[in-house]
Amino acid sequence: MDLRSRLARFEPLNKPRDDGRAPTPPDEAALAAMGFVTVASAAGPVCLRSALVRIASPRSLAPLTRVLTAPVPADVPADGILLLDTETTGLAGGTGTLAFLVGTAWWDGDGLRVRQYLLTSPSAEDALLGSLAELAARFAVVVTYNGQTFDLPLLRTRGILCRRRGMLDGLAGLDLLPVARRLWGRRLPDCRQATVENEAGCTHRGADDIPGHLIPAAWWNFVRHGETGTLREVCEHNLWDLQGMAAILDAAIVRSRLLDAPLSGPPSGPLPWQDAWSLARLCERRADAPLEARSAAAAWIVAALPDAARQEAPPRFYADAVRILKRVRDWERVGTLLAECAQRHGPSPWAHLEAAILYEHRLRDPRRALAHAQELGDEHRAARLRARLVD
Amino acid sequence: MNLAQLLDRLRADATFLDNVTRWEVLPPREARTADFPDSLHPRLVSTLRERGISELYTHQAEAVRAAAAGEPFVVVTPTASGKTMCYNLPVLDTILRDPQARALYLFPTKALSQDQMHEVHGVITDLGADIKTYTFDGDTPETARRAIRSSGHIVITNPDMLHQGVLPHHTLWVKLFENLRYVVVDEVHHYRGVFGSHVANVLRRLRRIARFYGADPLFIGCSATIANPGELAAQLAGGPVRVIDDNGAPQGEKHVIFYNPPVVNRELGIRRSAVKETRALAERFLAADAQMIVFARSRTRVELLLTYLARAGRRTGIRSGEVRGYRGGYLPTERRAIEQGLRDGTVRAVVSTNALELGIDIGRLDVCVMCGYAGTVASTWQQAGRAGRSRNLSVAVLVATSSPLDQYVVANPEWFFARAPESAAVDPDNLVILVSHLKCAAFELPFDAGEQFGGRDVGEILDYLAEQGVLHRDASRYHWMAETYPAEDVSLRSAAPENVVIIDTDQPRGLVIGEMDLFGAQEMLHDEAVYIHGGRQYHVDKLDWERRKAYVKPVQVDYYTDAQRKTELRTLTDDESLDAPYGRKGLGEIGLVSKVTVYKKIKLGTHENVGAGRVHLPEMELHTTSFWWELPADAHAWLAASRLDLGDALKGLAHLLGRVAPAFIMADPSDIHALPMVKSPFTDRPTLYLYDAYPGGVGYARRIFLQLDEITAGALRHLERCTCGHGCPACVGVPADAGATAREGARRLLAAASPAG
Repeated sequence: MDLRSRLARFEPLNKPRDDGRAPTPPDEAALAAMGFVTVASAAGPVCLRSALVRIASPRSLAPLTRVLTAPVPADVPADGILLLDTETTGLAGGTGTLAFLVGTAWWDGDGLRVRQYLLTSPSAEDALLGSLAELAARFAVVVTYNGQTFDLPLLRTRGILCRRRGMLDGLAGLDLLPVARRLWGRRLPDCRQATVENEAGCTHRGADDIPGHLIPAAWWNFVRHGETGTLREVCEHNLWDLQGMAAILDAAIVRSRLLDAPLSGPPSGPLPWQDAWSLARLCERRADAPLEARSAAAAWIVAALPDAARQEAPPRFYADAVRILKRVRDWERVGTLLAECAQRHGPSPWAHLEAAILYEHRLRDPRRALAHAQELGDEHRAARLRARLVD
Repeated sequence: MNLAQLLDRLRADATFLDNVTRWEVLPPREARTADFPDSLHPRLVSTLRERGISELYTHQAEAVRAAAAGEPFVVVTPTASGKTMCYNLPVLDTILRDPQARALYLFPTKALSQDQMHEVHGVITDLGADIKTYTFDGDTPETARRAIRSSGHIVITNPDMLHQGVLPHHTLWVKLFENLRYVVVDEVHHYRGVFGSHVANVLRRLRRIARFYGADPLFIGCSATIANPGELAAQLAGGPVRVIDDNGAPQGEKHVIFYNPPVVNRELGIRRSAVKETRALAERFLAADAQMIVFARSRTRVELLLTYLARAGRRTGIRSGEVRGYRGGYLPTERRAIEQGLRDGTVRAVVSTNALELGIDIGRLDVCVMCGYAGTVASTWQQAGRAGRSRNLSVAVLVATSSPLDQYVVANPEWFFARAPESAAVDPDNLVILVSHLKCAAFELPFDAGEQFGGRDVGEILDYLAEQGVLHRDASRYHWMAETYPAEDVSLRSAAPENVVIIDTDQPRGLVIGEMDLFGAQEMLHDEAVYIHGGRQYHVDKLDWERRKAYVKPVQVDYYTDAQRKTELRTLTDDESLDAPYGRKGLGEIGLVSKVTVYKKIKLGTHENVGAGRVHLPEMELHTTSFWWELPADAHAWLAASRLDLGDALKGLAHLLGRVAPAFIMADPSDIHALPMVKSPFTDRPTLYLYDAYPGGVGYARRIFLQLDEITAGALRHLERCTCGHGCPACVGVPADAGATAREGARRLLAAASPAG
């Protein structure tokens, strides 16, 4: 029995992906129609297309340092920022996943310059990465959406495989996903990029945006059969991602400015209570001006209170609010919040303990303190309070 | 009474000796030593001297010299002969000279990795060198992984983790791979059968990645004594390997006793409980003030023996806490405490599963009692090696159970004591396994056109995978193109991952009492079957084939069931064929389609057929490698002349060889299936097939083909010694199954086949 029939016997594979079609190389004309051209680079020919989008450049990145945990050089000029987003052959991670479309964008005097690198065959990868590395060397910061855990490690891995180690290492990374989570995550249903960019006022993404799970197949069909139909959609999707990132970056800077010194608390205009809560949490983390930060955090929480009460805030909100208001010794509000939380979410050991301490030590109301201590089952405290009541 | 006095007393005890099939005394052996090789780093030498080691055993010195010469090697010496020094010395020496150098250690289990880490760590601390050693396994916290990847000099892991957690992410391990100087594989003899065939391929992938980073690590292996350590290590190392087996470690006088409990039921081959006999023996040794380890094969038996021995304190004079249990499921801290207690003598006896068989350091004890054969000679010697100090007297006793393999071993002690009777089988080129790892390898690095894998041409397979859309071939390379992560779908420990789980519904919340492969489950766990497990009878209420679950309840009935499998066998290839002493022997690929259709109820004792039923289960298909023994065309007439039936003889022979052959090729009896055919459509002759129970086969059939003469000689010897009369489970099977003349018929065939006959 020959190897082929043995293989067929032992490897009852899923239905062949190719449906018996013979491989066809990518169609140059179809690529040209999409605007792609082949350009010579030091590492070999690269297939790319360019566009100019009228989006104003962001001003200073400095306010974002209030939101980020990883440092980003605050003094980067707008032309030192590179936006980057990849489309890949899978999400599995590991070494075997390719970035087949690398979208990049940067600002110059005219607007946002977009350049998309397309892999026309796996073996063209080295040239693509070489050209990308050359471009990236002109920038100081690379902005991505979830790129710190996905796009950048993947490109670094591919770089190692192509003997281009250390590629992109010179750039500081600014990932917008954690920024979005911290600024809007408490309000939005999720922090997928499409959701967040919509929030940021960027609405040009088409309703026909290609679903993520179709993306790998789109490229393989292009590479193996020369099909460009769905590939065209992927390229549009990537373009929208880059524009969306520009919008998110801008909105994040505007929102972060509310955290800038002097920390003055909420602006006059209304802010959704969850966003105010988010800003309060971010103020809390400010270590540079602790006293100022405390009162600013309290001001944001107080601003959030009326709507939070109306709109069924979760127990986590009450825990944060109580902690923040305790720091500014706003005992009356703490008492109200504890009562409100118990009413909304039922009694909890945490609320009873907080209330027992509050009424015993701050508001000097041993009777109420005793009630909470008893609910809590804190016999030691209850005994002490009973003794005080007898006195 | 001390141990020597107790041995004298046992020697004079006629009742005890009645059950002893062999009492072997291994004479004491002096240490043979050599000076530290000049090549060894002076700092290492002075540290060893400070630790009280002034010279090396000969095998250790040989290992150091081989490593210095860049020659891959495998060390084959018994337990506690200072094996770890054979790899730690070269590795530490290299790192002392080149702080960039890296080494990867592979152990089959996590517990062993931990133990080894502590040991290397001790030496490194004494060296005062900045050499970082880490274990990397599923328990390693994410936060520690970055440091391990970038700065670990010695990374200790297991093959499963290497396969799924390291190789597919090799770009995170650049430092390790670029500077990889050694790959150390301990317990090489564990890597056999399906597991070994997988691991050989994982190591092929490892070498391929190392090459990509410009490294060519030296292979160092350690193995228990088997017949073919060099061959096995070469499969793992991907090239010839020097065998270092001249053991220079000293050994005190050692007694090895084979004990077969007396027969209770001759027909069914049932003997007195090995647990009870073990308990009685262990108590005598405890009373003789000996430090002891007792091995039992299951966790339940460990607990049972532990309870017995702890209760026996009054008779043996030991306190509670001096007898401890040791098995998987105990907390690591508890295990460390027991190991320490054994080393310092505060623990007098430990009852363990094979968890303590591997190299964990517990010092050396006086006595080892094994409740049941450990499955292989190599494992048995590893267990027995737990007893035996370098100067003093030690004793190891094997108490056989009624199982056919135990009975073979205990009834044929000269087989056991022959030098290394077992050969480990692996087949890294098993197509199913090879293809799985080619996918993983392609994911890790694209294949160049014309690139070999494990020294073999794989272009045709890669082309096939490209056609199937798993890989993409462009100008010069094959690229991974599926969206999945292939290593996730490949388990190293199984070829066919599915088993049926056996659930005792009488226990609260349904206790899982065991698992069985799909073939076995169809025969033994069908609806209405009476299944015997751990000496108890269970009735199978329902076999839920879709969900792979069998629901059973304990019963006491006077019958057992026997299912009939109808098998169609087609010979697909005839790869090798040779004249054998009686007929011809062949090797090739076969296709099997089989179905269990009916079962019989057979009365215990009388073996009358007291009923039958139908079984409704789907057909099973298997393509695998088979050995076959084709008898001469006149075998039928030849046997008939002596009023023997060829069908019975073949059935008996199938039963016998199915149980004896595993002993020679380090297989589990469930790894091999036997099928007798009075007239095979392929050979047109009476033929006995012995085939691998895994798709594609993993080398067992080939080993049988190569070792047929010794296997038939062993089987004949066993049969002639079996005291059953007309057949029992330990030889040709009970007469009700095999037929009344099976035993004599099988004996005639074996005698005709034996080279002497």
